[in-house]
Amino acid sequence: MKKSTVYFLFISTLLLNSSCAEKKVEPLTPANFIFVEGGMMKNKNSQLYGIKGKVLDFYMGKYEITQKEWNEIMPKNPSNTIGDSLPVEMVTWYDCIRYCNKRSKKEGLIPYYDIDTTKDTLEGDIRINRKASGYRLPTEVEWEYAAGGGQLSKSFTYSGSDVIDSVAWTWKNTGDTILSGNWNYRSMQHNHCSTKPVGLKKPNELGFYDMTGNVMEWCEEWHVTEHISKGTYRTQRGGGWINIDDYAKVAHRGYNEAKRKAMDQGFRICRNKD
Amino acid sequence: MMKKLKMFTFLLGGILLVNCSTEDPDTASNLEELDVLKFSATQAFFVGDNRTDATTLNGGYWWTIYKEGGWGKLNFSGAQTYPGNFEIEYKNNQDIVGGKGWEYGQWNRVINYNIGTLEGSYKFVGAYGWAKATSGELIEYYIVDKKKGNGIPGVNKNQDFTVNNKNYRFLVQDRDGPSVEGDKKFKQFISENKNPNSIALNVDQRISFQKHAEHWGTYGNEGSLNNWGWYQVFGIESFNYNASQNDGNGNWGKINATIW
Repeated sequence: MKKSTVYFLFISTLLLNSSCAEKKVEPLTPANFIFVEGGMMKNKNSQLYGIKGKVLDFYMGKYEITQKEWNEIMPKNPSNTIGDSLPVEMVTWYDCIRYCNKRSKKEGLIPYYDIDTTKDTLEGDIRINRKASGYRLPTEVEWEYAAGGGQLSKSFTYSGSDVIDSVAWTWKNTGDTILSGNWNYRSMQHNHCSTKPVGLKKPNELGFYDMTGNVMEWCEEWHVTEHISKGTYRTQRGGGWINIDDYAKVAHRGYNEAKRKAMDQGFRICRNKD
Repeated sequence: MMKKLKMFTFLLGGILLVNCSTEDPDTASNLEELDVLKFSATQAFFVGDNRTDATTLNGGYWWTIYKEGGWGKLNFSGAQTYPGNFEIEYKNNQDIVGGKGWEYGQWNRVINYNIGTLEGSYKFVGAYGWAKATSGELIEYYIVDKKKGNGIPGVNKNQDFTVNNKNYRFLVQDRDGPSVEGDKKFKQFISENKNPNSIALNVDQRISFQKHAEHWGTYGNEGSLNNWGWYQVFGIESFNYNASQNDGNGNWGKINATIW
């Protein structure tokens, strides 16, 4: 056997062992992130199913940003329900991109957003450096693709299941007892419903937790329709612990005022592959 | 040659590393078994303090009741003769709201009703439910046929209209969430009968939704209401009883009504 062939086999074996035996020690994937292989939408419930277009590869956080992660970067925890492993909530869209930029700088990455607070009547003129290595919010398409299971999709209605209770914290199951009947917020208050620690429910096909329920997740774009013009609403997906099930479906396009804080509204972050 | 081989092994390793980075969903399952609390409608359903909201069918109609503070009782004792009959009695509530109707609304539904008994304190008697407008706005609607005091608050759009021989004001109100959509703002559309005393007891009455829906669509600035996928009921609400409105009954009230 030639020397070079032995060397090749040796190196390959080493790489194979080190990469698969301890798959969580993954130098190319940031901690608590998952590499999402791009492609066409495979989830048949998606509005993007059958559309000729490919989602590019990207990394996305396995969990919603927790209050511990928030506190490591930002000066004040705005959350309504306090706990290190709970998702941060009561954050505006602007709060989220500030978090992304601050965390990027702290970790030596190039910030994704250029925030000029002198220009915009809303709050800052936000410019995006799409090639930047820093943290960012997912686009709606990226979110829906990842929540729908990406290339491993089993076409579930909710992220990881057709049975919402198995994958999501919702208004029915986040309190002292299981609620039934029709939605009523006052019943939820009496039942002490609130957010839950991330990662306790079943993950979806790609390994993402809580993409349905717990907190709604801000996405990048303005929400624009025939009746709604650019500049007021930013997109958010996945539903939270307050809304009814219809608003938690993978395909449902949610939104809220960009400057509004809400106790069922948080985010998860992404990074470009390269 | 060796340089090329090193590059190849690096690329191969990279591919392997990438391929092994995603988790197998089957190995990370911690699915919880959840008990489902079920209710059955009995002839007399007392609204408890710990579990104040329940829905099911009675006489083929969907019903709902919610209570905060005090006590309340929902009774279907007349429903064997009249399937749409219900009775709600209450006292000392911060809020109580309930009634009978349909689990899913219709923009052109006609609700017929007859009120046999209406006593004590209340804010509104009429139809209520939720719908979604083409603007994307979630709408909580009330058709207030009878009221005491100020009824449901709102801003008058000064666009009165007449339907079912009743002349209504059209009021709108922005409300902070939460709502069925989550912790978001929503709007209330309120049709308020300008002559609530005209609704006599034991006289058949009618609420034709179509005219209300069209009026709300025209003057509500939210486009048409195109999604009625939530409940639509006829009932009563009493909340925040104010002593200045004392009608001799204290914070007590009772309704017995039938819908069809």
